[in-house]
Parts: sequence; C-alpha cells; structure tokens
Amino acid sequence: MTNFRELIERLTAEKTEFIIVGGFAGTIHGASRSTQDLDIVYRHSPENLQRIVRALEPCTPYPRGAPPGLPFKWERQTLEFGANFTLATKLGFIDLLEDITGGGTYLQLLPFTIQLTVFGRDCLCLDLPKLIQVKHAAGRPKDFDAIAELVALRDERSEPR
Amino acid sequence: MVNRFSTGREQWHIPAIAVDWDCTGSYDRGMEPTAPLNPKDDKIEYLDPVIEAYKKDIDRTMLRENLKKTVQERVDAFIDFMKAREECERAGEAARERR
Repeated sequence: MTNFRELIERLTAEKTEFIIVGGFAGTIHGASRSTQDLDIVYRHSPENLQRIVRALEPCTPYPRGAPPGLPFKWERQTLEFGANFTLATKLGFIDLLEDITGGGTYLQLLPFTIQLTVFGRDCLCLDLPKLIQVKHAAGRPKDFDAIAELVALRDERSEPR
Repeated sequence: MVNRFSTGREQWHIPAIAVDWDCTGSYDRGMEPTAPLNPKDDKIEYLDPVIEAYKKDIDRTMLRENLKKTVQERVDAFIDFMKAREECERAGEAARERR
C-alpha cells in the first residue's frame, strides 16, 4: 500500500512545490473511491527538481512496470529531460506530472488550488471544479464513475443543508 | 458544444449543454482557496449526459457523511479502508493457498 503520509511528509519537508491531483485529491474533497497512487503536478524549475530528487532519493524511485536493470538514475537531469514519471518507490506509487490534460502546468493550475493541512503539513490540492474539469478532459471511460461522484459532491456542497 | 471521449480504438462524440455554474457552496474546515473559487474562465460547466447517467447510482448518503468530516478525518478513513482492503486480499490469498 502506498504510504501517502510519508510521501507527503518527505515532499513538504524539502519545501517541494507541488499540487495534489488525481484520486487522492478526490479523497481530500470527500470522494469515497480508493486510489493506489499519489499523483502530483510539480513545478518544473531547476530548484524544485532538485528538491524532488532530495525528497524521494531515500525511497529509491524506479519507473513503474519497467524491467529491472534499466540505466535509470534518480537525479535532477533525469527529471529535466522528462515530464511525467510514473514511479514505484519503497513507499509505494507516485506519479510526478509536469502537466495534466485540461489543466496544464503547475503555474497554470495554481489559481485553481486550495491550501490545506494534511498529516500536519501544508499542501496545495486542486480544487473540486478543476478536478472535475481535468478528469473530464482526460476523457477516460474508466473515470466516468469517479467524475459522477465528484459532480455529486459538488452538488451536495452547493445545496443548502 | 461537444465532448470527446477516446476509448483508444475509436472516438465518439457526445453533445453537451453548456450552463453557467456558480459554486458558492461552502469550503470545508481546513481548506482555504488560494484564489477566488470561481475564476471567470472556470465558470462554464457542462452537463454531460453520460456523467448524468452515472450520477444516478452514486450513494449520496456516504458523500454527505464524508463532507461532515475534516480533510484529515477523510484521509484517515481512506487509509484505514486501504489497510483493511490489503488485509482482506492477504486473507483471500492465504485461503486460496490452503485449498
């Protein structure tokens, strides 16, 4: 099982600039669906890439599903030359995304975030309207149910109780 | 307005109705918007007939209970669920091996 707590603690301890998106963001907003990995959109700046490298280095990240023995080096240059990384670590699965369909990059998503404290750490999470929008934009049939739940959550929030 | 969904092999198009949507609903304890909740270009929401169809089967009682919780309580409940699921998987695997 992915250790969400420790992954978030490590990232925030290094002051990494990131936004929680995906299924875990849904959980934060109140969705009941489970997820296997932590999806984050990170700021693609040299300083931030270095912070990500430092934060995850002890967890020995490796491309998920890739055969063992690849010449994969966990260093800033590796992140600089790539964009989206789906990784398996000692703490579980984490997806590092430079941008997401329908949402864009960290800086483009920033106005659509909420600040929250989880595991005692201050983080940014994609807000509910944007989360619905990006899941919709991804257009994956497997997400239909999840989108419907997020839309229902949005309805529940906007209705007086 | 058209929404596009790709299943990998083909692409199909579903007409959607654009409506104004103003979510002025409350945000939860421990959640602070970093910008106005409704930036102008985010105001258009689409009524997607597929999503609307899926919405009918959503258990809203569970969502209402979740919304009463703080963010940390939701995350804790999720982690408890994941641990329980893992335990069930282990138990199932052990039972299959015994047979």
